[in-house]
Amino acid sequence: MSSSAAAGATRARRSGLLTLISPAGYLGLFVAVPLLLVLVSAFLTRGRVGGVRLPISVDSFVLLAEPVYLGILLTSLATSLTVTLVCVVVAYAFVAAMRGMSPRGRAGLLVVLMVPFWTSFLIRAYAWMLLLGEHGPVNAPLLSLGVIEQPLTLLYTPASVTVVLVYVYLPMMILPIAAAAESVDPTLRDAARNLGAGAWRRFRTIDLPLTLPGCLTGCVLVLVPSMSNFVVPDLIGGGKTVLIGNVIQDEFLVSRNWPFGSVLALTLIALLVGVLVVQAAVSRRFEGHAR
Amino acid sequence: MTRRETVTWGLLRGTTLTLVCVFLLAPVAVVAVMSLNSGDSVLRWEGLSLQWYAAALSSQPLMSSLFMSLAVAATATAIAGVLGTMLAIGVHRVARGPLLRALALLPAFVPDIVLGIGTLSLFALFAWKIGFTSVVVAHAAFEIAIVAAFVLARLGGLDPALEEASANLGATRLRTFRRIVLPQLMPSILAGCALGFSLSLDEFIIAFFTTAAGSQTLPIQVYSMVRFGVSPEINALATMLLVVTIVIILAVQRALLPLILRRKP
Amino acid sequence: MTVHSPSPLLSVQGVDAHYGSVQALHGIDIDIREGESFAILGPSGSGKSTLLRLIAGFEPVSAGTVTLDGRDLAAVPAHRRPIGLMFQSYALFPHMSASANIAYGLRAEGVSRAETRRRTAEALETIGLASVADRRPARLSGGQRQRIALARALVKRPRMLLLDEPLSALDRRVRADMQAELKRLQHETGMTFVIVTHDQEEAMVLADRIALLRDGAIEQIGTPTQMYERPATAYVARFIGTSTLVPGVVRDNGLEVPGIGLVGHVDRNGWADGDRAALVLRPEHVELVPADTAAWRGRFVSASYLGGHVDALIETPHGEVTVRVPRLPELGWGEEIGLRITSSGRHLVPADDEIRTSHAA
Repeated sequence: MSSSAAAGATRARRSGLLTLISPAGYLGLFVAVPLLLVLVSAFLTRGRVGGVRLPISVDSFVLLAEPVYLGILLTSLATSLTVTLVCVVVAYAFVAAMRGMSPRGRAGLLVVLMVPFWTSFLIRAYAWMLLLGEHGPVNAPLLSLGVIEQPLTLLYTPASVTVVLVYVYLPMMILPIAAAAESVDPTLRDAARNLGAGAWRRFRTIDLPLTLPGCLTGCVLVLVPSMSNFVVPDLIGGGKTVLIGNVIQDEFLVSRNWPFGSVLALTLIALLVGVLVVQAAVSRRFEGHAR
Repeated sequence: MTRRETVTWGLLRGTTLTLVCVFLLAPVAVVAVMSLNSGDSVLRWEGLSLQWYAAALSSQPLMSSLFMSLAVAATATAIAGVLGTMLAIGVHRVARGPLLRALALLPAFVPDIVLGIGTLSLFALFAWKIGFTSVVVAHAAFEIAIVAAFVLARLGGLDPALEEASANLGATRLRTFRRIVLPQLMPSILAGCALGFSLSLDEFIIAFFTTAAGSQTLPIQVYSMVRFGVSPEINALATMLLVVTIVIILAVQRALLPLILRRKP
Repeated sequence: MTVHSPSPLLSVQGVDAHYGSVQALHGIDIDIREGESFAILGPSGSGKSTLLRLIAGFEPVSAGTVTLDGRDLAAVPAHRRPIGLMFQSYALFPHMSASANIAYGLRAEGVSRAETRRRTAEALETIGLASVADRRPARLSGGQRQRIALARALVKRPRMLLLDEPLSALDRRVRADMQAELKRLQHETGMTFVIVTHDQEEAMVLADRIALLRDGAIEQIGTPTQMYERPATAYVARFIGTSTLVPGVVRDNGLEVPGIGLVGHVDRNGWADGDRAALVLRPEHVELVPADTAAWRGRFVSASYLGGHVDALIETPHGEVTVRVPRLPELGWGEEIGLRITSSGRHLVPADDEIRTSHAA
């Protein structure tokens, strides 16, 4: 590099650093500090009227080990994993079905995908309350046709919570997988076909490995958020299903045990970091395969 | 492909697409359709009527919370627009590596519940009052990441020759930025802001932790109404919001997408 | 070219193909014999890619049949056809090593792991790339990738090999190597090649026989010699090699050409007096003579020295004529020169609309 070019580069760097001061400051204060506070709170004792106070203690961590809370943790994990898995399967089916559609058809499908996204999330959960309710469009025709005598209790079950969680987060899984699938060279599928691979083998050996980064992005966007969502278990589960998100909400706003709530939040973050690490590791393996 | 293969695949494709589309749209459709129901029963159709729209528009709690949401979203978006752009430009100039980039976009990945309780803790620590400010502060935080993401993507596609030409013609760095760079970035900034705005409007979880009695946002209001059972005004309100969001997004897409996606000449 | 069996290996009969509402192929009839090297030639839009995809089984036929070894392929899905395919871009799987790429087709067939390993190793040895067996395509050179792509197709011992534009993406030097490689391969294995290309030079060099496609229909099928020396239509004459088409009317045993006179000794096969026809003139069929000795005159435009021979461009009333001359002519731009048609090359094709006429006949 010529000296003037090098000087230009340093100047750019310097002005860049200057520009970063304000946003970095803002994010530092309003994101980094809150996160830090959560971390610190986990090691403190609950305040007399909420909040936190010294002395430092690990009581909250000990509390987490109680069977009740471990059970909730495991249930939440199981539910989120189920939701994520179902989303992956449905997303791949959807993306595979989208293949071969005209660009216009594809754009239309994307709009269909986004419409629930643009509807108030609360409203969507509420809509499922309508759908699954005793007088809902699922029960009503079945009742009137005499197929069943009592309305099915579709609402307030763990299964319905899972279904609605899938509903809420499905678009977040479809979009990254669709984007990844778009960048897969179509002649690779033709080549695999010509070499004797049937549909399932083609999917297993070509599509799946090459869209894995996108799939993992989707998992990041679904796994932890579905665990921290407390609205769906509340409205759809009727409070009978309790996930981590519900407990955190409870600890902070009802029981006022902030340290314990923070510990729970930390487990969420730990999980998130775990998923991000997996994603980064897999992405690195695939470096250089982008077209 | 054999004839049989074509038919089988066609059937599978059609079924899958239909099922998923129905699954995704059914709840929304139910809400929209029932908003026009003249009766107040949840699912028995009693005739076409706009009464619930009128009821929603005249409901004081609903309208004041809507106004609150709009105010929050507007303020947060304004902050995020500026800071997000600065963040993107800074990152772009300082390092092209993936690490700094990932760091800059991290706020978007923090689970909202964590951001919610964290903000609550922050305000408790400094004994600030929670309410409008706390919601705005937290919303702006994740919106910054969104705007930055959009602008960073665009920055990558800018033609450096334009800035060089401007410098060569005697413009100062500031002028170059104002007249050359910023106009090119505008579509991305606006798109990021539009997305951030709509996310803020709908944001529930952070608001839940950081609102106070006088500053309920719309989702909070809807939540408390919904908990006590179903009310028809909500159908109308939801449909209105959906239509407005769709209109905004489509308008943004139509106007801005070609500008954002324009590649280097 | 040896014909190994009397009945064709691949037979395409009366095939039509549609892309949505557009008809891409009309009534294609091609017989490809075992062991031959056959080229399907045509510009983009001619339907050659459709035909390739059809033979490979990626698209269905709308009408007609495609048979391989006498067996109708209509019921055979793409992944079960014993037809190898070498893509223009090679289509090597980027996330698999070289040996995994080669092994892919064997595993897909159900060949045991042990057998797959053996045959893959053998294939890598044959192409001399055993040392890079574990490398991913991104870390292989273009030539290495080419060989892997070929090996991947051939390790399955297909009945024939389809090659999609095998030389187009290569630069001149690599092209010659690849050409030699393919010819050698064919002689050693007796494999039937079907080469799809838009490059007439590629077809002329690689193929025993060529089918020229135009707008979804066959214009002509023949050996390179036949296509060059006895093109069936003006289109073929223009597509293959360089040519000038001189229109006229058939009379006596020659062609009456306005502005030149009677060109005698033409191949009158099937032509009647009064028919409108065009004479196909290749560069080597014309020579330059002093202007005052020739009936046909033109003006010198330019000359290209091609190392060994020279192509001179002469502007005449019948269009631009390329004349092959032994050395650079000492002519100035626009200088008048005469042309004479040498005794060979008196082949006629039907006159079509594109041929310029300067004088009304």
